[in-house]
Amino acid sequence: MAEPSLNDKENVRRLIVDFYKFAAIELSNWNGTVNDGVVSVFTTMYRETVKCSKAFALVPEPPMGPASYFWLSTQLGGASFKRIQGKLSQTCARQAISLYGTDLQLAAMGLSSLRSAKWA
Amino acid sequence: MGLIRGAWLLAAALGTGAVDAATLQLGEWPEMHECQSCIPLQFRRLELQLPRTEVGKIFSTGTGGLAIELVPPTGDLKQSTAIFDRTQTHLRDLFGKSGFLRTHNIKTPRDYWDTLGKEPATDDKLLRLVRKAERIDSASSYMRMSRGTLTAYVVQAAEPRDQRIYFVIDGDETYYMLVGPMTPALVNAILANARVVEMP
Repeated sequence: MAEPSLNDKENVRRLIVDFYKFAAIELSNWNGTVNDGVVSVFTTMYRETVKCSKAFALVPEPPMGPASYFWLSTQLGGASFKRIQGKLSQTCARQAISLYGTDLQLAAMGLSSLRSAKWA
Repeated sequence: MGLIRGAWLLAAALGTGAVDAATLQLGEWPEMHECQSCIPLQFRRLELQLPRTEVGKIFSTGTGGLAIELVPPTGDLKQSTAIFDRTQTHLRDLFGKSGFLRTHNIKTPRDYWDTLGKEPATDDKLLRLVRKAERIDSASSYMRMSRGTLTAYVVQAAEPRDQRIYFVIDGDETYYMLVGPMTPALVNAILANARVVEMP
């Protein structure tokens, strides 16, 4: 199993920042760490936002199974998220952050027990 | 008069950080009062009375949605307060491997919120990190109040949008979380008439 590339990690980090910006919520308290737990929690945040927004057919949907750096990086990274964010509800994104934001912080601190992310 | 006194006490506690920021303080629950013009809201077993001066609309994102939103009279959804429910299973899943719950003998959501209100021992890095993740360490105040089987934990967070109330019901695995830029007036109004009811 390959390690995630630095590029994928950086894309995921920027994606998380963009997601919080989209929701108009200050991303405080996060040290920028991207690890398996962070990828797992963020994938849940995104999936719940898509579900809540009823945007299944309109935006990329994470595959079932372990969360993936590669999927987030290639499907939502770079300019991709900016292109699809108009199809997502800001309120749903804010709710996802309110509900899972603490989990993201805990994951960044290495305290998450959520399932590991897939590395390739 | 009771409400005014209760509201004053809570507003004073939620004020300018006069209370020790890092640890749990016991507060006095604002007295229940009749509110004919309030909007009653039941969320599972938690019933709230919402004053129209603070809440203009209740918005639900519908099936598959995460929460309901209490929208202020201005209609600005960015200023709304979200209500969620969660079960203690989530805490077990979240902290399973870290041993945090076991180390602190946390068995219920009430144990969890009580523990976060303790000053961490010098060598208790885990508690320090969890308090940081929950933004308790940077809060201006962290208060607990109980009435009957209902306990509320009120976090006045440093970030204005991050004001929180957690409701815990004795013997119930579900706990409730309100998050948003709640004013002290809204916090008081929510607490004053909050009560436990059965699911219809």
